[in-house]
Amino acid sequence: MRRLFRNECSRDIAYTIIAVIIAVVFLFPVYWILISSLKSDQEIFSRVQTWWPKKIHLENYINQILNKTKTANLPVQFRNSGIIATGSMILSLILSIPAGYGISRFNIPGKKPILLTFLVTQMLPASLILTPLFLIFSKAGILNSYLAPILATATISIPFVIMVLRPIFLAYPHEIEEAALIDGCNQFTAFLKVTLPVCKSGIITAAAFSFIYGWNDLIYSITFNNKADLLPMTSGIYQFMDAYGTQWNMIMAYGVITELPIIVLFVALQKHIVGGLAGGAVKG
Amino acid sequence: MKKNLLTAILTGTMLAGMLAGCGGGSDDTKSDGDSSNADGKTVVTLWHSNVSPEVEPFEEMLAEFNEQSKDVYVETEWVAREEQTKQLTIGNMAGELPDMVYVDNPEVISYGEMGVFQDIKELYDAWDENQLLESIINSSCYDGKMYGIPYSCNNLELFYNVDMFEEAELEPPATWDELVSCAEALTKDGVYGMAFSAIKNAECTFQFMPFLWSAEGDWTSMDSEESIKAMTYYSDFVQKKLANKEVLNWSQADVCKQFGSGNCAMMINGSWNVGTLRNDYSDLNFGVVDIPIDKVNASCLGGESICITKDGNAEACMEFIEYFVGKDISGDYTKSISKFSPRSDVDNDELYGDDPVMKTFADALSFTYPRGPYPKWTEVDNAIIEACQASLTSEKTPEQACKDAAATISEIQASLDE
Amino acid sequence: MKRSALSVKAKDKSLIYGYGYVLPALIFMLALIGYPIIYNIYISFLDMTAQSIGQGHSDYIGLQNYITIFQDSTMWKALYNTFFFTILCILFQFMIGFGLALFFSKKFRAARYIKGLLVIGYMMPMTVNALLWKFMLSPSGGIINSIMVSLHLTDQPVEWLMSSETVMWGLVIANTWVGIPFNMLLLSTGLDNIPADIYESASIDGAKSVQRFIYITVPMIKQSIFSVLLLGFVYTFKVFDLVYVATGGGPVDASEVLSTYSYNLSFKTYYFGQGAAVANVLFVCLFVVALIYLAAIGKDEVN
Repeated sequence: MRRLFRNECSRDIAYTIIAVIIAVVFLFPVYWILISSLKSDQEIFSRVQTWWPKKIHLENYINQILNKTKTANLPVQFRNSGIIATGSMILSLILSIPAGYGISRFNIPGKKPILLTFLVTQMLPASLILTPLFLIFSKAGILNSYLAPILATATISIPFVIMVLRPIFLAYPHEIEEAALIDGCNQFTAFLKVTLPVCKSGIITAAAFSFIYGWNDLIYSITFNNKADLLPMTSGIYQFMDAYGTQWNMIMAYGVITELPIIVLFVALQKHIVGGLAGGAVKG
Repeated sequence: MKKNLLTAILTGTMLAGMLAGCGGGSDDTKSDGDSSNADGKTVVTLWHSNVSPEVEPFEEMLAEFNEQSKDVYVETEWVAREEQTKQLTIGNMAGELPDMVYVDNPEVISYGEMGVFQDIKELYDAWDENQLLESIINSSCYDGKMYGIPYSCNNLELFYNVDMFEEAELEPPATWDELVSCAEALTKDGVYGMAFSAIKNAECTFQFMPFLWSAEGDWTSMDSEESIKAMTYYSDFVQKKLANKEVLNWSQADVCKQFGSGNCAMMINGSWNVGTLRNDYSDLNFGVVDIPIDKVNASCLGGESICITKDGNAEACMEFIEYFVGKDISGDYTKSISKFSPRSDVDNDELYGDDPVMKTFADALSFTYPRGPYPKWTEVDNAIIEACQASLTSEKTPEQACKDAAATISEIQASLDE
Repeated sequence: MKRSALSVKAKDKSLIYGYGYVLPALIFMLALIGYPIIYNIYISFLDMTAQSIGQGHSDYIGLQNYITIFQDSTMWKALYNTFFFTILCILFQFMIGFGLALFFSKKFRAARYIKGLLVIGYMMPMTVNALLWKFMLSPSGGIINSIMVSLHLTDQPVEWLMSSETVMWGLVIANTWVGIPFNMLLLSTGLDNIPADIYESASIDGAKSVQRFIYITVPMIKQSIFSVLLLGFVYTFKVFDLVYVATGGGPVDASEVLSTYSYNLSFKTYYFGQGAAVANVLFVCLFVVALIYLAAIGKDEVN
């Protein structure tokens, strides 16, 4: 018994060491963006790259947060990104969770064409729908508002979320729900009260992904909005490049700030995302 | 516990979303108010792509205009240069255009002929201070119509690092051969002798044209012996490793950074970089000479025009343009952004008498030529960029690249003749 | 008699519920995607340019746009590049992602935490990723070249995004790095769903780890594998942001892919008709993959 425990323990350590090595190699680009964002102009353009900044230049961040460059207004764009990503996430969760559930739970006629429709819509490249969507939004009078990129980015995340949730709802044992129905719930309340909490790990994954799609969008925002105070972070970095050339240290600093909220969110919700449905159902 | 967390997150995000909805809505209604503001002034919008250090004098000038004008108030929106042509095209389709736009001079005609801009010839003729240089006005005119009024112009010269030249005991080059031998002597220890911008946009053509014209080639005859010679000379800087191959990725701003950081000894660049170098690289000792020549002196005209869009309020816009390009403002304003006034009554000798670097640029205006004007310049531009990049990457020989470009350009011409 | 009436009623009810859940999303997608697709097909038969839009009328020219694009060598290059890019990316990111998912399915305490960390790359905006990799792959001062030279893997810095021979490989590397965590995460979810007692009974039967992998793991997560490959194909095949920001399709047209080619035709030269035609070619390619996938999961569902 004792020996087994010791083996278990050393195995744990060995795996952890390998995992750390994998993480260090794999996450090197993330280290590099961080380090480069703290270097001076001269250091970043020098021919020999340094592994650690000679002097930490926080002004790469400060100047941008205070909008000293007068192009990419970082605080405003940060807010815009948040609004677009949150709006897109809510919209796509409201529409796609029931859809993902409905399509896996019920044997409705036309299920295959519907699935095909979601699959196909998901496959569309932005450039295919950009011009037509612009014209629709123009007629609807929602150009130059947050709504236009929210609607457009939701079209990316909705089918994605449905496809991610489908296997989870398929694997979900319906007996639990039926028990609730016997207890006097109707179908919809059973879905809300019983099924959703059990599948919440999948739903949090879905929420995280749809938030990311909204946050990361570049093309829709710069096409549908031409007002500088509506543009998100991703366009800010792009404009900055356009205006000042490849000032890598500044661009990397901007990139770090762009990523920050996503990383915080993800670290906070990580265990839900990785948990998985089956384990949750058994344990919970 | 976990359930509470989830509920809290969802509630929080929904609240944020509702706020977002409100924010978007109110912004929208604000922008729709087209005609007048609280003071009863007519509000017109202007798209510009000025960046620091040019945006500060611009904002100052604009504030002064809005202060003194009784009838007009100009609102601005910043549009990234790369995005501008797209925004114009899409805005035209959707009827979402501002009243005025700053447009890079070779693109004025394209959009004018597309119907995006008004013909303002009559308004211009009626202006009592319309003493603008013919050669520069021409860049915005086509077929008797006038689609914009140039407010600033600039051109390209050769910048060189004085300290590097002194150390190598070299004189700044004046001919093509001298330029190559200087570049050869200065290319060492990771420093490249030469730099220019060959990025996949209009800047590439802008920087290639002086070479093309100096050899007496032209974009209308890309397959001529002279044009091929220019292309060969130009691409050899990269082939012989006298210029970093990254020039393919470098915008003019990048080239300036490389020069400022001492990674190259010479660069082709425009007058506005003088301001940037003096501000950001105050230790750098640099000089400027005319771009070395093959047969004749040549430089390429840069600069922007103010165009009034098809549904723009032309009279209100003209009040601003007359102020902005007028005699009192133009000279000092363009000087403050290291560019030149398009006015014939602005005396550059006097204005730049104490600044030999800017004086060199000003003097070169006499052999500075515009791209086009041509109604399908954007397509011609793409053909030339492709030829430059194909030769620089050795994907094609300079000869082949030029011949292909010539074929494309004659197709463009044919489609125009239809 | 009574019994069967009840079941018909229950069936009706489940139909109402089923459609009630699915329809809102379906209508939303049809309005914002379905109409644009049809509109785009229509545009592809028109001689629609910025000029013609300005004049308010675009001529119907039949298949001329398709003929024009297929006569252009850039179209063929874009097609080749798109497939090259997609196949290599999927190959690398699926294999590495699967390997990592298997490794992290080992029960050790730090597994979850470290696995979560790896996902950071996938979450980063593609715009930022593209710029970061452009910076790292630079031949002058790029860290990848610095490392390769110091390890004596190469004497001269590789030109990566600067040369027409290596540019697609540079993009594959950047995109693989982004795609690996996505593959790993979805496959991990599949692996976690395999009940532990199946493995236990297999080890009692004396199955070796390779056999267990082939006969238990892979079939058990077949659904996840299909999803990952299909989604991977879709997201890789329509790659846009990465190429657009990192190379703009260059040098010249060496890294042009279908989506950037379509975008450039529509929004750089304003041949909306031709841009729409290229986008439709891209669409057809993806559609075929969707049919294959549907056929596969369709068969699966019967069982």
